[in-house]
Amino acid sequence: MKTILITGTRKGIGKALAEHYLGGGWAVYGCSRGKASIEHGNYHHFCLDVSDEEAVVAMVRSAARESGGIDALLNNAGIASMNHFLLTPYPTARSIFETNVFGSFLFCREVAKTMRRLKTGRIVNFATVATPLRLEGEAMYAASKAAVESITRILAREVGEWGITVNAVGPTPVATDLIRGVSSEKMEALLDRQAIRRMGTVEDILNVIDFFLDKRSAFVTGQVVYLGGVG
Amino acid sequence: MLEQVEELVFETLREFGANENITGLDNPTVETFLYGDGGVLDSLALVSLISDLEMKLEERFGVQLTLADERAMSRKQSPFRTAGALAEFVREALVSYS
Ligand SMILES: NC(=O)c1ccc[n+]([C@@H]2O[C@H](COP(=O)([O-])OP(=O)(O)OC[C@H]3O[C@@H](n4cnc5c(N)ncnc54)[C@H](OP(=O)(O)O)[C@@H]3O)[C@@H](O)[C@H]2O)c1
Repeated sequence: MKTILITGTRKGIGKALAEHYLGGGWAVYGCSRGKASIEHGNYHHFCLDVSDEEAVVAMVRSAARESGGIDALLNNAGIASMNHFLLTPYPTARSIFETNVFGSFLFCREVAKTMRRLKTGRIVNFATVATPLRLEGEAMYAASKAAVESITRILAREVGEWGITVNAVGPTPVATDLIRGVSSEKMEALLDRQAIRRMGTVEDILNVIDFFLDKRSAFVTGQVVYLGGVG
Repeated sequence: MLEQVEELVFETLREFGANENITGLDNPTVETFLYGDGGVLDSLALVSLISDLEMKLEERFGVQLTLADERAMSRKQSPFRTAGALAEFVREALVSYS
């Protein structure tokens, strides 16, 4: 049985991803600050904050030990905040970076250590079209995801020798709690800037992830794929 | 305790040398040069060795240490210079962990 570790599985895209891979016969190790919302024999939940180093190390090591090896990591947990730059509180900016950047950093680091031993592995990080679109009101969110892109590209070079690929998917807006606060005019204006003007779906994201996870994609690494024709 | 830790470090070095085909690690002593001038490890091998050692520490002592912490990286005397320095560094890390 293949094993996948997905962060942020309580709701939204992460939950849908977890259910998809459970349906496909994978063992799924998921986490979120809140309690599990998935019940399945092959689902293992850890309540943690992705920026808590000790908790991340403990989760990754216990997942690797129990499963015999982690085949894939999806760094999905993420938070956003819409604010004019001048009105962005420092604690908000910090927590965006803690979850999106440092959370991805910790999971990449710890999971790559275990994948190195197996000389194979797939890591997929989460970017966003807000970065290439330079979306007003999302400076700190877009900046955090720009950092995630840099980590993706550089880590790919540092672990390539061990057969580990590192890529990122950059979704367009998908109807989840993350974007609930965005006004409909803002959303329309955003969709207008895409080549294909519609909301994204989990299937759109899954298609890109499945491509990255495919055995035949062993030579695809360090790439950021945006959806909707952005970038 | 240092002796126990040294034995664990040597064991990890021996296994690591065998797995990665690195000569000079089949019979390590405290003086074996690991990293830097005259050392048997390049930087990528050092990264791998440290993460193997972290796993070994967990298997053996049930501790979850991250060895490449700020203390290790900011020392004047690199803890990765010789097998002996590495063992002493691991011992200190274990002490501060407990
Ligand atoms: N939806 C979009 O339009 C869109 C567009 C582009 C990119 N993305 C990216 O896609 C990913 C998923 O977004 P989503 O729309 O599914 O968001 P969401 O519906 O708000 O869900 C976020 C998930 O992450 C978990 N989470 C948040 N902070 C966490 C932390 N510090 N530690 C552990 N878990 C944490 C949440 O659970 P808890 O609250 O229980 O912790 C939840 O399960 C994010 O990286 C986001 O940036 C989304």
